[in-house]
Amino acid sequence: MNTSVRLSASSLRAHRRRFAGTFLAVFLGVAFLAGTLVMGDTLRASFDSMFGNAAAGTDAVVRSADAITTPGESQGVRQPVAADLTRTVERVPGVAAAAPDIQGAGQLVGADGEPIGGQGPPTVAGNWITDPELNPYRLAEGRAPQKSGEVVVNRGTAERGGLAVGDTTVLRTPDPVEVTVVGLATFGGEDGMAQVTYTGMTRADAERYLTAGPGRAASILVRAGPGVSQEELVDRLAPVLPEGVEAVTGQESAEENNEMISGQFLDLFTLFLLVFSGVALLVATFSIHNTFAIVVAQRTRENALLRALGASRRQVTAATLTEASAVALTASAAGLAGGIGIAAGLQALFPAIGFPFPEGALVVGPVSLLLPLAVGVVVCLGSALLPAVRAGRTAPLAALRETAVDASGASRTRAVAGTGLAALALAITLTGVLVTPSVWLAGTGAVLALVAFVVLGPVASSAAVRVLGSPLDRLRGVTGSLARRNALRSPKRTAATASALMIGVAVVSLFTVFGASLKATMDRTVSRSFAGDVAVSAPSFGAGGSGLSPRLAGAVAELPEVDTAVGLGRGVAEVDGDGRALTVTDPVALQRTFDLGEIDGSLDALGTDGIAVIRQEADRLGVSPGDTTRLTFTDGEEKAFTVRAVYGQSELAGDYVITRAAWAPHRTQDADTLVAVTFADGVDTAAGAAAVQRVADDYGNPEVQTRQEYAESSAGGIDMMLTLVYALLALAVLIALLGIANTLTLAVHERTRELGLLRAVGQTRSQLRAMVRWESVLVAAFGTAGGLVLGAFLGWVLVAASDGASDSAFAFALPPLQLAVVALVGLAAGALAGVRPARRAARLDVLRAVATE
Amino acid sequence: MSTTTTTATRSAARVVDAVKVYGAGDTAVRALDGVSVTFPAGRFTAIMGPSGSGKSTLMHCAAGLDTLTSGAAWIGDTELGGLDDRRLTLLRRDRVGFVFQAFNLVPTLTVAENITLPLDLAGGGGGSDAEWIDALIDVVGLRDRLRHRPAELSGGQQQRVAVARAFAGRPDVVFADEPTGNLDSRSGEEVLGLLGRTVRQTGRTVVMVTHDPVAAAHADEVVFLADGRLVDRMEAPTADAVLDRMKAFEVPS
Repeated sequence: MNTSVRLSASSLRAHRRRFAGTFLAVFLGVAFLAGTLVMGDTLRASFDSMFGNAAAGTDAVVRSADAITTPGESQGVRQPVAADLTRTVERVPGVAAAAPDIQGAGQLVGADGEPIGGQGPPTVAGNWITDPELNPYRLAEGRAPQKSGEVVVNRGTAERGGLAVGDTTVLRTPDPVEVTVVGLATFGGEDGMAQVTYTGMTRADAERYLTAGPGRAASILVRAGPGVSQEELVDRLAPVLPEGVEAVTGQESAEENNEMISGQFLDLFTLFLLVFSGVALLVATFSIHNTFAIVVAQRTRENALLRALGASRRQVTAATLTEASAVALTASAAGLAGGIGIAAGLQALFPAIGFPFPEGALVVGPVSLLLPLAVGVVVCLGSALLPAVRAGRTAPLAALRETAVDASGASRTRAVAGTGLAALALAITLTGVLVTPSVWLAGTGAVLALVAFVVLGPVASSAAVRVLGSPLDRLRGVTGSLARRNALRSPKRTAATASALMIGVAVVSLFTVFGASLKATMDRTVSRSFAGDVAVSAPSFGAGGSGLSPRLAGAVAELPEVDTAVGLGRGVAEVDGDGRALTVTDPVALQRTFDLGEIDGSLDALGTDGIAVIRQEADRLGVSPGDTTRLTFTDGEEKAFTVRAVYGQSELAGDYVITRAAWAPHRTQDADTLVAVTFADGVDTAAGAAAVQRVADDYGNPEVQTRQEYAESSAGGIDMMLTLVYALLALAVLIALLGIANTLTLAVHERTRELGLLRAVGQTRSQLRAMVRWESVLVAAFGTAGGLVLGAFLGWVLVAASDGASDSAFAFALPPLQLAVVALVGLAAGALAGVRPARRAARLDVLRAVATE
Repeated sequence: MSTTTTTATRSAARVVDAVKVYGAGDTAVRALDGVSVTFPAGRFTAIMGPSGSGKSTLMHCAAGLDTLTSGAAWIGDTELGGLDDRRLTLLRRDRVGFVFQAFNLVPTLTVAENITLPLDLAGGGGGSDAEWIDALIDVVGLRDRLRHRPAELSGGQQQRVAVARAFAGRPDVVFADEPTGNLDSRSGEEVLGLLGRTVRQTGRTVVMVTHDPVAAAHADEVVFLADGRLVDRMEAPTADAVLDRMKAFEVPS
């Protein structure tokens, strides 16, 4: 063992450069992983302390006991409580103070006329609570609102909108309200609660604009007197509360709020990043394995000599593994440090780009320390295991043989096994997609397909390189021809090098194809079910924005250019016990602007006790026109509705439709999400849109979009997601490039004498450089082509499986332009990877290369 | 081709006062110590000398593979000292041929492609050369092996391909560095015969470094090197005469 360690130490010293690529691959993967874990923990801890601080003064929260949660929503909708319950609460012994907390959506318009925020995080408006202990916001500047129209804004929002104390602007609730900023506030010592915008108004204003009627509040915040614990306070409050209203401790409420952000958002965010560090590490595995395989092949004679001199198999294997361990440990440790550095850098960077990152020390938990280290070491050692075993198997006689170059091709077994595996993968996938739709089957098939691609790589590489490289002979003459043949020399090595890039490109194309398919689906949905001419929507995304004024549809309908204008609002109720979203609208007008497919019954007279249901939901409930179903609203009222119509397709119109009159008694803050408009006969779209825009200007300037624009903006979030995904995948592609560069450097080293000969008989330096670069491009082209095919296939599987698994039909689309860009990037990346090895090859000393040993 | 009288008076390659020093200070080695020699065109010249006499260094410097510490080297009328790496490379490609002791062929190229490699690197390989290449292939006798890879040939066959490649570009001079060093005597004889025949039949010039008197006997003239200096010349050498001359080096007088 001692000998093995000494051998590997001297070998590492001698070939430091060879392991630079391996080191970098492990380093980058581990750094990404560690950075993700540390940042997740740090954010979680920061949010914990921020919510803890902000809610420290609230000892109990009185609120409605039930929440209705619709599918796909993290936070349920709670019924409001009566604001005058505050007086009852105040009289309970041990209560020092109580205040109603009214909350709704309110989007401020900045100094430039553009709405602030609304692209994800909520835009919150509420009453400014005068008791400073109960109010999570603190006045940092100015004063509290005292009369109607005065507001306090959190400082971060004011800065983003260019607003200062004394400025007048508009608050969309969604009806535009003219407000004057009289104060700026902070949350838990920061400029705001992450990117959430907050506007605090007088209680009277809040009741007027944010609730359906006066006297309601989202909850009542209670502060305990001296010596009363939170639990005691809750116990004392419970008896005085009416049925359906509960009291929870302030701590519990803070934890719930925190859970909403860190539990839902942070966990998802962290998982997302972990998946990409997984991809990066998978790619790294190929690069590392390849490096060790080549190094072992190049060292065949050296290892054979050791074996001839009496070293045991185990000693030779151990020496190689010790080398791998040394690289693994140093690279993982460096990666860990790098990851922590990245997290620290982001913590410093976030505030600079206007994203308040809560202060606090970096949290480096034991998992964030041990997991990346363990993964780095396992990946590195695992990748080196096979080459190390092969090194041990070196026959002592190999010391006498001339060739030390691994020129192993594709074996017949491999071709048969790979083809069998590919067939199996295809069969399982197709079964999972077409025969019995199952995401699990499709997923298994997809993973098998990936494995089959990797196994078949060496078999395919010869043919692929020959085809891909055939234009090179004509294009670059003997230089191109030499490059092509060099890439063909060791199909196994070419395939292993290309596999890393193939996986990277496959994941990129998978997302590209899936994104394009989602867009195509959205486009098809709009063109199929939206029969209107223009759509008015508030430009928002996620939980932000305040929607459209419910009066906008009526105002637009009065235009002479307009035939029908229908507003779609959103309500929630439990239908037969399950939370569901309701579309609140004028059903008659709805039919004129949306294609609802085949309708059983009629939507013409739903009245206050009628409901229309999409066919899938009707089947689930087992109802048809004429039957009744029970709806429970957030105010606790349960009411029987008669199913008057069952319609065939929903997509944009929602699964349940009720009238505004039926919703009115249960409404909270009124807002429409969309106003669909059809023009009168003979009205030009542009002219009509301009007329609608003029009306919309009075209602907070929402966007008026043609059908095409509406479809495009509906898909806007997809581009944002894709950009993020591409940024994250750049790392995997970078690691793949390092792998190509490393293989080429080793190959150049291996071919020293041949390159010397070429230079001696007249190959110029630039021809030599071109030869190495073209070889790199060819390997990259093979990886890119494989990745594109695999990615497109996996994209199709994903789309088809989603199509089978969900109600809405998915469209599959192959975006030619984006995929062409992916292909070009892959080729350019190959050229880039070849630059350094090419330069090293060109620096070669001709004389030393041709001088005989 | 031209008449022997004109080619014999012209020099294909020459070095004047060539000095080559490796290393510096105490460890400096003078591999060449003021050598002046002319290799006349249309002749087969052998450079002989014991190990460390500087014969390989002389060849490398005369061929533009290495640079002199002082003095000058010429290929035809071109002085090599004034050329940058690119011009030197182009000169080697267009005007010089090489046959090394081993590893003479590019393993990924076929025999035919190896032969035309310098022409292909120049981007030409056009019509007028085709006839010449065709004749060369017959001279080296490898017509039935043109589509083979080097790994499928014997050592002697590989060296014959290397000879064909060296002459393919009709160079001013072909340098051969121990071309028979790795071959058995029969194959070596074939390669030497080939070099000699090519010089005599086509008027080309060959400069060969060797330590084998039998090989040197194939040359028109032998120049002897010892301790980095030119010590003797011998016209129309025989193996015995060369061997006798070489023995003289071993017993310092």
